[in-house]
Amino acid sequence: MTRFTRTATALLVAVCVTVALRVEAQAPPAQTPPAQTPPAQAPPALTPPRLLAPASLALPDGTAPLPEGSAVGLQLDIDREGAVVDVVVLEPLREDVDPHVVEAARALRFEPARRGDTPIPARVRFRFAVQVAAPADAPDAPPAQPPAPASPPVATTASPSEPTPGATSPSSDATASAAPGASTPSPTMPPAEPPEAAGTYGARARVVPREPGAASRVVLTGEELTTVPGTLGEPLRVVGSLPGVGRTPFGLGFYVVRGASFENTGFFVDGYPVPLLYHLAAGPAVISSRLVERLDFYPGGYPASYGRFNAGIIALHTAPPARDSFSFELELDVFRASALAVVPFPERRGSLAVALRRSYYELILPLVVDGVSLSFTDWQVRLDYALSRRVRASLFVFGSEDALDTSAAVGSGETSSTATTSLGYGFSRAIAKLEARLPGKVRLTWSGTVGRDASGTRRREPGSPDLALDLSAIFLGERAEMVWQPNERLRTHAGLDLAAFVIDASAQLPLPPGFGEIPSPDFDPQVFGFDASIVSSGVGAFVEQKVALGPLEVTGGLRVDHYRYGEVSTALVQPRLVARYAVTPKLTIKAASGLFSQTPQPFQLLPTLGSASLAPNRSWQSSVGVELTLPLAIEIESQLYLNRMYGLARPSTGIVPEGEGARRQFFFDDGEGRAYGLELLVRRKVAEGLYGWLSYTLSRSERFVEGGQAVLFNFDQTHILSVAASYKVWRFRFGARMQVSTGRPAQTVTGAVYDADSGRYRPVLTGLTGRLPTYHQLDLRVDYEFPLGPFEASIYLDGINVYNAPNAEGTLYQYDFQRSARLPGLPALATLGFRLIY
Amino acid sequence: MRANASRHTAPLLGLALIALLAACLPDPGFDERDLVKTPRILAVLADKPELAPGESATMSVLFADPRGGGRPVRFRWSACVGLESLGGGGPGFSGAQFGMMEAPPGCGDPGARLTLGEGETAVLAAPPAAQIDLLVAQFRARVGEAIPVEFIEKLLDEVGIQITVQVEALTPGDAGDVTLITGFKRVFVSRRAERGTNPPRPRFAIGEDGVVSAYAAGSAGFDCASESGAPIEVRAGATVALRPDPTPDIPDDDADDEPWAGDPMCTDTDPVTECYGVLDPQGFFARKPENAFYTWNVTGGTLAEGTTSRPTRDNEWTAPTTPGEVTMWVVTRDGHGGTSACRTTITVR
Repeated sequence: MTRFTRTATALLVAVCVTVALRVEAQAPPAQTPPAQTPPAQAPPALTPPRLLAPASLALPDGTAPLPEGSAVGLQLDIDREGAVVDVVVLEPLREDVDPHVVEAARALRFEPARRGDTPIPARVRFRFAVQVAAPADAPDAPPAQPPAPASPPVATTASPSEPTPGATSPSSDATASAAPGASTPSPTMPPAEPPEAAGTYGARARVVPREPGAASRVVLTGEELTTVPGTLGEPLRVVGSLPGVGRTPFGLGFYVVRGASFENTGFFVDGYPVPLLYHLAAGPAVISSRLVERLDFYPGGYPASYGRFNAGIIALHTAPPARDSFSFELELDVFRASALAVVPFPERRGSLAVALRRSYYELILPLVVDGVSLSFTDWQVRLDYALSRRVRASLFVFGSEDALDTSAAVGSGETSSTATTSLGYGFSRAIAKLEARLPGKVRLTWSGTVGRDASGTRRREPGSPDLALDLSAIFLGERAEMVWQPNERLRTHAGLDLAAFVIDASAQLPLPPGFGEIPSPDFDPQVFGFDASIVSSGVGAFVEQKVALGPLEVTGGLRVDHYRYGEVSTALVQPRLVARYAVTPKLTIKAASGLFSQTPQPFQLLPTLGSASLAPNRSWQSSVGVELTLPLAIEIESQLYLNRMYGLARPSTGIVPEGEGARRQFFFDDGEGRAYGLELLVRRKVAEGLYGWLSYTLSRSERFVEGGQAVLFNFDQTHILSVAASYKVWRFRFGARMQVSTGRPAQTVTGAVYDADSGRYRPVLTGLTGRLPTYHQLDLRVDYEFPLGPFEASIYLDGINVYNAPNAEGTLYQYDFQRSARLPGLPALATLGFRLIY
Repeated sequence: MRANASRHTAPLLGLALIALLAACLPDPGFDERDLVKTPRILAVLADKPELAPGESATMSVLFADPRGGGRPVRFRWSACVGLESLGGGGPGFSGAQFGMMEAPPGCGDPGARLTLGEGETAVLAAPPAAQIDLLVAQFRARVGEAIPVEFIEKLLDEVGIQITVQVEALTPGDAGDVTLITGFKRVFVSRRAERGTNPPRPRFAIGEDGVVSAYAAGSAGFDCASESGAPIEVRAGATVALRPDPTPDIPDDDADDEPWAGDPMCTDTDPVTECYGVLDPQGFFARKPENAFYTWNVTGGTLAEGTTSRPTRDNEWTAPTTPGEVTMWVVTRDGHGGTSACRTTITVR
């Protein structure tokens, strides 16, 4: 039975005032030669439009490569507010690319042209550069840096993955193209003189190619990462709306992917795993979204270049913010402060970006709840440098710290005291990378990482022994890989992957009950202390070969992982196969199958509480599916999947022979399970200001118990539906997301029996034969952008669970199990943000 | 192994969030465990909580029915010593009969139950040595004789096996007996020279002046009387301290009761409690000291704690604001099956 000491309102509203000030320390504007005007009558100075934000271009998967230097020539009409009202293609590039470029150009935003201080409409020529790289690029490859321009003033603004070259003003001839005296923007204003070739604007976009070794991959970039409702702008929370992803209680940042446990899905940042992606208590991501270029989600069947996780992979790819000059951004709201500084290097060879974020929940929480203190800090430093046209280097150092402290009164009157619990979690990583593009279409990548994890939990209560658990880990990793793609039909990807870590554990924990003990009437632990170390190393090698014969493409992969930890030294060979057949250019059927492996969790290997001989667990994943491309930038992907799990570590109270006696064994590695289902994703990528998707999963996840009977997995959810859409009209963007999912399995309690030795009641259970009620939630978001004097301003309102659905995350029981109540989930929550950019 | 050093984060962070939310959750209006409002079993006692093979024990039940009303209640007793939980999973065994109790045993298969009879008391006879040897042989056959017989013999010598005794409180209903509540208790059977005993019966102070003791004149069965002979009275709404005496003076004629009779070589606790054998998590035989737990229940007012134990055994009770009589129970447990109990009536004026 749980006693509650306070009541809170059902609706929790957080008003978040965000003030972001970004100071652009621009280089002095190019000094145009003064016009030769009669001294007696100088006309008002003409300022051309200035591109404000990078362009985002979405091209369908499988778009044929376009070499560097490819571009679409456009004519843009820009109104006095800086919006593009008309686009005309003057120099087409290719019929499958031009319409998408036109749509992207319509979304461009400019600072309007001005005559003196008065904004005026303008017509300009615009060169939209497009590069579609050959699929030789590895998933975690940073985007290519544009070469230093041989001659100005190609005023190109790259995609978020590339630095922004210096924007230059067009020549005075270009400014003469502004319609004189026009007071109302009109697409029919007289054409201006075409500017000279040098006076053009442009944008560059990089298209992420399809990965041949991946059975399924969802890529999210740009607005899809930052404007989905209900995610508070945190890119990684979008994963929760994708097929195959089960809903987790209270929006915790861990995912049940295709029926596997939390720990079976890996989080990667720039190719290396990290322990968590979110700060405590539904906090933001541990990496600033300003540094996130792309998120790749593999629900299963991930490429051979990744490994050591049994289910899916969530891979985050970072990039420096696109800046053409020094910039500083400061953001403040009720809960946290963040700062970002970017220093580009000369000749656009690279940049240095530094970001820092710190919460101040400790100032706010005392107003709402007593005895709780929460704080977090995260920081990132990223250095990118192009050593040459073909070789580039990067160094990304980042870290995160979280702390949660609670205190509660125990007893009352003379017997009262205060019990405190504290939880701290932190990690840091440094990733160095070197990439080289060699002749013969070979790309080499070397990277190394060093990192540290630290976590600590403590509980203190007067009269009881202190309990504590501290874990710290140091690890090293190194990767070397090669990609060779001589043509569209062949591609070879091979590499080595080394990892080693040492975990030190120090604990003061209650000794697990031994044989001969019975449940105690009160918490009366016998505390034992121990210090232990776990040393582990792993060597992995992989090779992946793609062969395309007409419409058929087959990618065979092989990964070998050698695991060494505890009493285990073993190698696992993991074959993988992906086949795709293009029935038509718009319809593809695919199939995949492969073996995956993962080591047990460190706590399961601790000498005192675990078993050092647990073998790695494995899963055999298979899927078949179709991909269909429809007009209006709509894509459909559907697949059936089957995962069979082996060697899962299951808890045990058994004893096993050892020598002349026996010992306790807390885990056995003979657990098995399976998960199967159907996934459907209907998606419209960002085009004409509209994007959206429908995600549906029909699934079942089971674990086998003694006797071979299958029982539902604790987080099995039969139906998972998510519908999200966002539409931009004029200055507004409206978004909505609806989530509906089957409730998790729940124990059915049919009664209770009194345990006279402990003085407590034991429920009489019939197993996981019931379910929590169906979960449903509607999130809404509105963004509004508008000019405010010299500033660009925006306001957003993001609401979660807007109709305050009384969803249940569990069940609470009275002490004798005669009465029950639902454990409520998160209530309605709204965030209001305001941003100013200078 | 990949840098995945701390993937215990999911349960840790889940606990963190639940701790954060727990302070804000609405009260579901559940009944308090220490307030007796419905028919309940508050204790099941065995006059010998640990038996030698073939020895017998008398079982009794402390039952509370605050609604009373003359409703007839009778008790039905059963016991079981079975192998249902043995040999579970892998080469080991879950060993419920070897000291590790898990979900309510209920004796599993009803066919494995041994009926002990009906009444407020029942007699339990431990299996004789020959039957225990048979159980051991069956167990070893089941696990493939992987565990040396010497180890099992030592387990019996040091730790013992458990018998589950179940008691059902029944009342006549329209369609036959209705089970009001079911309780169970464990009784150990071992070959230890010094077997466990029950703790001394309760003696505790209520407020500044009242002392209730199971050894006071006028006490009988579970009913404890005031040592002074005067009724225990408390002012309505007053808060009084409850102070149990861990080492009451036991009259010579209460030969059935023993003090804690602890082993100072095993523990230096206060009081010096008994020790018992366990097979610890690392497979070593060890001795663990008992404790003194006091569980409090009332029919009115508010208790600060439901269960108290060393070092702060004391409790507090706030009397109801309306005059009347309140029944108070205190059950003393030692954490190894030993139990004693006391019931008293307090007048709220």
